[in-house]
Amino acid sequence: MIYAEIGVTTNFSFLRGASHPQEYVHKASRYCMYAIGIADRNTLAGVVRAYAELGNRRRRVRYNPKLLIGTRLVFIDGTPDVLAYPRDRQAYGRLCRLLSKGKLKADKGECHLSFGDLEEFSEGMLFVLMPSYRFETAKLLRTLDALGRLKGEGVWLAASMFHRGDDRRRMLKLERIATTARVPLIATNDVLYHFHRRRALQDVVSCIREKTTIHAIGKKLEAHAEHHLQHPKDMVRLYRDYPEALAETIRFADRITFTLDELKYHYPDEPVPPGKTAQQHLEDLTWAGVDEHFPQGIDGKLRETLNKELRLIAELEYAPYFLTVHDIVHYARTQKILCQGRGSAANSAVCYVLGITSVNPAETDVLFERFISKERLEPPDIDVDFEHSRREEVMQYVYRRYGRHRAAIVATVIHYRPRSAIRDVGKALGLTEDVTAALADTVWGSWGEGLNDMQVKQAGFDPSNPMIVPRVELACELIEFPAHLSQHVGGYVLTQDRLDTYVPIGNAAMEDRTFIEWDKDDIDTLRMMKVDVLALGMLTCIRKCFDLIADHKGGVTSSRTSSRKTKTAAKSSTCCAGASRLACFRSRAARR
Amino acid sequence: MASARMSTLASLRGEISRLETETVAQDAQRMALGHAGADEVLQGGLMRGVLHEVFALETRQSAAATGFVAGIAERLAKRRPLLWVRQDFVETEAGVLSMSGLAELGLDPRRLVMVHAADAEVAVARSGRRTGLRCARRRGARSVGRGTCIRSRRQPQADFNRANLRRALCDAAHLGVAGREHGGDTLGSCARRARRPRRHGASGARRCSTRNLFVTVTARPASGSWNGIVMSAFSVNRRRILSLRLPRLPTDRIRRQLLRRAASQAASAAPDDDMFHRPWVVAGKLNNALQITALDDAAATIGLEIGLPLANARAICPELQVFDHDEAANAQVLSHIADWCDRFTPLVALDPPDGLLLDISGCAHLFGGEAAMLRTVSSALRHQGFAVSAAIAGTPACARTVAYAANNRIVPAGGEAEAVSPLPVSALGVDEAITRGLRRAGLKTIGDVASRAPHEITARFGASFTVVLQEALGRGDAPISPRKSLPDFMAERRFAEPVATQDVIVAALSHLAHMLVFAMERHGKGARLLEANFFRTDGVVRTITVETGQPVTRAHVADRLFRERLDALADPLDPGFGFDLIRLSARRVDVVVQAQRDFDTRAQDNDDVAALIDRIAARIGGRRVVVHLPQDTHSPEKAVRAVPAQHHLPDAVQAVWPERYAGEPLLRPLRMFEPPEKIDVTAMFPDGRPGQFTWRKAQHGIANVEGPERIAMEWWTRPAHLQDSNDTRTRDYFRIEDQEGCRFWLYREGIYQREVKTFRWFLQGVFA
Repeated sequence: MIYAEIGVTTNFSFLRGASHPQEYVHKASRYCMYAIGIADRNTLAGVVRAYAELGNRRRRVRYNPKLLIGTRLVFIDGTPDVLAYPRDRQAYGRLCRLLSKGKLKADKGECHLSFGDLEEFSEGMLFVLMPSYRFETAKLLRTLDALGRLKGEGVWLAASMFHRGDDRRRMLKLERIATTARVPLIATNDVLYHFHRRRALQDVVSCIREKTTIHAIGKKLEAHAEHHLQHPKDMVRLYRDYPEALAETIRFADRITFTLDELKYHYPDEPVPPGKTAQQHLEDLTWAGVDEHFPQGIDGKLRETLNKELRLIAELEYAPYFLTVHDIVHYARTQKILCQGRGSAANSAVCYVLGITSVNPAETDVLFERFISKERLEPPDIDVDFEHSRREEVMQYVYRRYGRHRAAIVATVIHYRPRSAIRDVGKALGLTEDVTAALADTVWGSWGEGLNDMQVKQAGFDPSNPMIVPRVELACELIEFPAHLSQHVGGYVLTQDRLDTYVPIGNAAMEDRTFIEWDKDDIDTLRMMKVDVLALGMLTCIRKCFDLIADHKGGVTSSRTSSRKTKTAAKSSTCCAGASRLACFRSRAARR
Repeated sequence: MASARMSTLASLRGEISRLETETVAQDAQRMALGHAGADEVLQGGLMRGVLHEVFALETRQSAAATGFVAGIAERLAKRRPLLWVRQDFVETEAGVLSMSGLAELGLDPRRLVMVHAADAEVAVARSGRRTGLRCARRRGARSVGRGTCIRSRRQPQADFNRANLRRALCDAAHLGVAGREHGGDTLGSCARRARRPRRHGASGARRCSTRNLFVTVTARPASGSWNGIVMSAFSVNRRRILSLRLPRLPTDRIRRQLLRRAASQAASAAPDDDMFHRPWVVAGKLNNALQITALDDAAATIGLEIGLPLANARAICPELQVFDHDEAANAQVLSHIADWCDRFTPLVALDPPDGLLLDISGCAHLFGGEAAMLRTVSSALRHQGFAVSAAIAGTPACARTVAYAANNRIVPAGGEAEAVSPLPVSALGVDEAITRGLRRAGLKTIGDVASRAPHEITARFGASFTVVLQEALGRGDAPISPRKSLPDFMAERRFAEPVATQDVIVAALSHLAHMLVFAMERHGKGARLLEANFFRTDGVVRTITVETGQPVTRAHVADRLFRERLDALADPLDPGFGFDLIRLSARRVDVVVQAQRDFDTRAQDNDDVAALIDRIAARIGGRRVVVHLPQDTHSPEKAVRAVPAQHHLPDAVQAVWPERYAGEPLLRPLRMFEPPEKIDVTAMFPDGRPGQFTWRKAQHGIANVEGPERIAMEWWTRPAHLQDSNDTRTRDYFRIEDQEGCRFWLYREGIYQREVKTFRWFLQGVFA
C-alpha cells in the first residue's frame, strides 16, 4: 500500500496510449498496486473494459486493485491538462455531463472544453493539475488558484519525473509552487503503456497520429520508455526524496468512493399510463392483443405460454423493455412504416400478440428458452427492422419521445484489423506503398490474429528479413487497438433519468445524431437496455411491391395483416427483381 | 635565400616590438574583454585585424578556450558569416565541435562555415588573401596577458594578404609564441570588402593566343545528339562511326612495358634483345587448360592461333616467349587509349575486348576529313607501338566488321551492304557457334547470309544475330554508348607545339574559361562542375575538376578556382613533353537566375561566402568545407549533420536551430568525442549519481551533478537481431562539474535488469 497510479492513458485516448485498459488492470494486480486510475483524454470510453476485467475469472492473479474512474481534461484554451476524478455517483454524473457538453460543441470524435466549462460541474470532483515538462510558474499558480475556487473536492499538483536531466530542479520548483498554492504534490508517472517494451508501438501510433514516418517525426516522440506503469518499488526509488508525494496517491485513492457498480439503470416509463405499473400495462396490452389477433379465442396451451412468459417478465422486471419496443413499433404502424421484429424475440407469444413479430405461436412451435432465460441473465434481444428509407423517421421519433438527453445511439469501437494495422504500421515505418499493399493483401477478410510467416512468404518477402519482421510484429501488436468510435447501426440506449449522467454523449458524423461512448459490450456489462432500430432495404422493396399492387389491383391495404405474409411477399419481390442483387434479406447488422 | 629570410624575420620582429610598445589611440580598434584586469594588461582589449592565439592550460580545459573564442567571435562578427578552421588531428584529440553546444553558447551555427584542413595555413592563408579575411589565432591566456600581438601592415584594400599572413605565422613560430596548441582552432571572420579587380596572367593569355592552332567552343543543343544531327527512326542514317581494333593489344602492351623498362635501365643492365625477336604469346587458363589468349605477328606467322593449348604451341615452337594473361591490365590500357581518343570526339565507347568505337559524326572535317583523320589516329597509335586496324562506316557493327577484315577502309554512307557482303561471316564477331553453324549451312560470306530471308536466319540463329547483321548491312540506327556523359558545354584549344610551362597552361585555361563562360552566358547557364582535361603528347590524359556552390557566371571565378586547384595539387601537373590539347568542359550546369539585388547586404554576404567556400573547396576538397544542419532527433550524436557547404549553404542559412529555453543552463557540451570515451566511474548501484571518475588516467572528484537525462536509442534504425547490441541501450546522461571546475557530459549505458546486469560508463563531451 505504498503507491497508486492515477495518471493512466489507455489506447482509448486514440493513438496516444499504447496499452489496453485490461492490460493495465492485469499489470496493476500483478504489482499488487493499491489503486489504478484510468484517465483518458476527454473520454470515459475505456473505463468499462477495465471494470469488466476486474470481474474476469480467467485472470491468474486474484488481487483486485481499486479502480478509479476519471478523465484527463484537455482544454482548448491553453490551460494545462487536469485529471478529474469524481468522488461519488453524483459527481460522476456531472463529469459525464461536462464531457457531453464539450463533445456536443465539437465535431465527431472531438471535445472542446474550456476552463470556464468546469465551474458548473465541479462539485464533488478531485482535480489534479498536470504541468507539462516546461511550465510557467505564474500560469500554474493561476490555474491552481482557479481550481481551488471551484466547488471541487480537492486540488492536487502532479509531480511527474520526465528524466530530462533537470528533474530535481523541476521538482524543487513544483514544490515551491505547491507550497505557495497550498496544494499537496502527488506522484504520477503519466503512464502511456503498461510495459516498457511497448515503447516501439507507442512510437508507431504517435507517427500515425502525426501522419508522418518514424524517420521524420523527430522530437515529437518520447525520448525514453519511462512512461510505463512502474512497479511501486521503482516508484519508491524514483521518489525517494519525495515520499509524501507517493503517500498522497493512497490518500487520493481513499477519497474516491465511486465505482461503476453504482450505475443503477432505470427503464424509461414513458409508455406506461399514469396510475399503472409497467407490468400491469404490459399484461393489459397483451390480452388486448390476444383479442385482436385471435378473435375466435385462444386455446389453453397458448394461454399457458402467455402466462408463463408474463410471469418470467415480471420476475426479471423486463416489462418496460417490451413496452418501449411496443411503443416504437406502434408508432411505425401508425406511420404506415413496414417493420418486423426478429431475433430471439420471435420465439415468444407476447411479442406476437403485441404486434412486434409475426411468427404465430399457434401455428409454430416456439422454443421459449431461446427467448428469455433466468440463467443467462441478459436482457431479451429484440431486433426490429424498419424500411430503410423511412427508418430515420422512427429514429427521430425516438429522440422526440425520450429527448436527446435520454436517448442516444450506442457506439461501435472500430478496431485495428490486420489489413489496416499492417498498412498503418508500414506507412509509419517508412515501408513503401507497394510493400504494405502486398502484405495487406495476404489477409483475407477483415478478421484475424495477425500475419504468420506463411502470409509474409505469400507476399513475396522473406519472413526472416530484418526489414519486415519488426514491422509485422508491431502490426500484430496493433491489431485490436481501438482506432476510433463510430455509431452503432441502430442500437439505442434509453434511460429514465438523464442519460448524460451515465455516459458522455457526443455528436455523430451524421446530422441530428448523437451517440454515447460505450459500445454494446460495455452496455451489457453494465446491464443497460438497448433497443435496436435497424434498417432493412428489403422492407422498402416490399413496400414498393405493395404500392405497385395497390396501383394495379387496388384495395390491398399494406397493414400488418399483409405484412404477416411477409415471406410470400418477399418471395414475389425476389421474383420481380430477377437474378439481381436484391436478394438481401437481412440487414448488414443482422449478418454480423 | 637564408639572408633574405633573416632580414624578413628581423623586420617583422622589429615591427612587433614597435607594436608592443606603441600606445596609439587605437582603442576603437580594440575589443574590450570586459574583465578589468585583463583589459588593463591588454591595453584596452584584444586588437582587431591581427592574429591572436588562445591556449588552454591543459587538454581538458581546451573546451573552455573554444568557448572563449566563440564568445569573442560572436562579439566581433556580429551578424556576419564566420569561417572556423579546424585541423584534422584535433577531432580525435579534443573532440568534435558540437553545434548544439555552440548554439547554446549564443553563437549562431547558421553563420558558421567549418573548414577541416590538414594544415590551417594552406586552407586559409592563401584563400583569404583577397576576401579580406581577418584571422585570429587563439593564444593561451598567459600569452594574451603578455600582450604579444602580431599585427599586419594595414593597407587600404588588402588588410591581410597571403605573404603577410604566411610570414607572420612563420615568424610567430620562430618567436616561439605560437606553438600549435592541441585543439588549435583557427578562426577568421570574413568581412565583405571592396575588391579591386585584377586580372591574373592576362599577358600570358595573350601571348599564348598567338600560338594556338584553333579554339573550339561547343554547346550541346537542348536536345538531340551532340553535333546537332537529330536522329529519328525515319531519318537517313548519317552517323559516322570510327572503329578502332587493336588485335595485338596484350602483346603490344607487354612489349611497351618491357621497352620502357629497358630504356630506363639501359645504362645498368644489358637489354635482353634476344627476347624481342622470339614469337610472343599470352597464355591464360581456360577450361582448366593453359591456352593461348593472344599472340603477336611473329607467332601468327608460324601458325599459332588463339585457343591453341600452350603445350601444343611449345611443341611447334620451343623458343616461344610466354606471358601471363592479365585481363585487368588490358582493360586499363584500352581505357587509357580511350582517354586519348577523347581528343577527337567526346563520344568514345569501349568495344571490348580490344576495340573502341568513336562517333565522329560532324567532326571529321576538324581533322582534315575522314581519310586524314583515320590516318592520324592509326599512325599516332602505331607510333605508340600498337597494331591498329581502323575503319569508318555508318553503323558500329559495319565499322567493326570492316575493321576486322581490312585496315584504313572508309565505307561511304549507304555503301555498307556492298562493303560487308564479300567479308566472311566470322568478321561479324558473333558467337563461334553461330559462325560455325552458318559455315555448315554453306553461308560463307555476309552477303550469302544477307541473301536469305531474315526470318529464316532469326529462326535458326536468334534475333540478336539478325540485329547485328542488319546493322552491319547499314540498316537501322545504332548509337554507341559513350564512356562519359556528354558535357553540356566545352571549350578546347589545340597547340601546334606542345606547351609545358605552368604560366602558359594557366593562361590557356583562363582563355578557355572566358570562352566557355561566354558561350554559357548566351544560354543563360552557369557551371557547377568544371572539368579540365590535359592531353599530353604521349597519350596520357590528366583530368582536374572543380566544383562550385553557385553557378559560375564570371570567367575570372572559374579561372581563379583552377589556379587554386593547380596550386594545391598533391601530385602536380606533369607536362612531360608538353600538352597538345587542353579542354575545359562544364559537366554540370545550372540555370542562372539573374536576381535584382536589394540594399540589404546580407544576400551579397552570402554570395561572397559562397565564393570563398568555392575557393577553399578547390584547394582542399569540397567535403572538407562544411556547414551544419540541425536534425530533429533525441539522439545526441545525430542532432547535427555536417554537409558540404558548397551544396547546402542556402539550407544552412535558413535552418531553424532549437532555441535555448530561458533560464536553463547549458545542456549540451561544446565538444563531443566520437566515439565516446570509456571511463571508470564510482557510483551508487543501480541508478545513483556518479561520485568520481577516471578519464585519460586522471582522476576527477565530482563537485556537482545534474541528471540523469534518459535517452533511449532509436530502435527503428537497427535490424531486429541487433536490438540488444550496445548501440540500442538506453543512456542516462549526467552533467558533471569536477572539483577544479571543469564540466563534463558522461553517461551510463543501460538500465539495470531491464537491459543490462553491469554498467559501462562513457564520457561523451566537455562543456566550455
